Amino acid sequence: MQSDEEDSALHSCFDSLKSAVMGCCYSICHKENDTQENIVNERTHLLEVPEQTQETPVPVASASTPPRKPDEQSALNRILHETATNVIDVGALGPYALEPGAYSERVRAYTARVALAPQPPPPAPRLLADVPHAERTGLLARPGLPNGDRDLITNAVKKAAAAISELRVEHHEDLVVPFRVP
Amino acid sequence: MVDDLRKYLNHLLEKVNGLHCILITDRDGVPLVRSVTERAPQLALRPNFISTFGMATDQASKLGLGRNKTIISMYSSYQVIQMNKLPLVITFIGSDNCNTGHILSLESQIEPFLKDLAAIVAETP
Repeated sequence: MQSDEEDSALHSCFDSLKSAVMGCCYSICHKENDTQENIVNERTHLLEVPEQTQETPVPVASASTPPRKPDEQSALNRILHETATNVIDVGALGPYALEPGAYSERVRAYTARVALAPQPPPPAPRLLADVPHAERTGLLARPGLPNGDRDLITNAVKKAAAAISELRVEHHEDLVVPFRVP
Repeated sequence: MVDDLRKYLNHLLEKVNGLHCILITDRDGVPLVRSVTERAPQLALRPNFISTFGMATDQASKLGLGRNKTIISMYSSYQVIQMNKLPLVITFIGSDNCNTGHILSLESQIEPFLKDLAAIVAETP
């Protein structure tokens, strides 16, 4: 118990010592800087350099944290924004309606611009034209072909098929003909 | 241009049995060109109804399956097919027994006209 108390007292003592030493170092350094500020010597800059640009290359180990802070912040903001856009929250959307004035104004603007727009490209020509719906239903509702006509067509097609199947090529001369080459 | 396009949409409307209307609107449901028959439900032609597709397609695109292109809604007596051609939205409304595949096939026939219309929407403040 007593040793613990001694330890804590020792720690607090060390802490106070540390802060005192650091304060001294800082004050010494600060004083040196202050004294050197107005004295012209071999270390004095010929051109005035802004303090920020002078300091940035010097601290190598500590450079990782302070200058990157804005980058980290912007990266965090970006991640937050992306996450917010990727969240599906239908309840938060709420009803959306365009104001009547804005609606009619936009309709007017579109009408004017569409009227001035160039002619659309003609649709690609099609081999088989579509018959309008009314005409199509009328055509389909008509009675079919009479039996006599159907038999006539069937017989004509049969005769034509028979005639085509009997077509033969008969050769009477040689297939290879020598040219009259001297 | 608008008259020719409307005639063309009317022609497409006649081709598909049971199709009641074709609307080309902007994201907020403001119409650019429309071809409507008297059988089309008036409630579904309102900008409030059409503009919900803009939000729905945005949310549906977040489901991890890529960009949402078309939403088909089947109702008891109607079907509504909306296509994402942002900044444009194409809306087809037909009867419940209308051939959905036939309506979807009209996309390729309307596509050539959309470039000019999208430019108009983009230019309008």
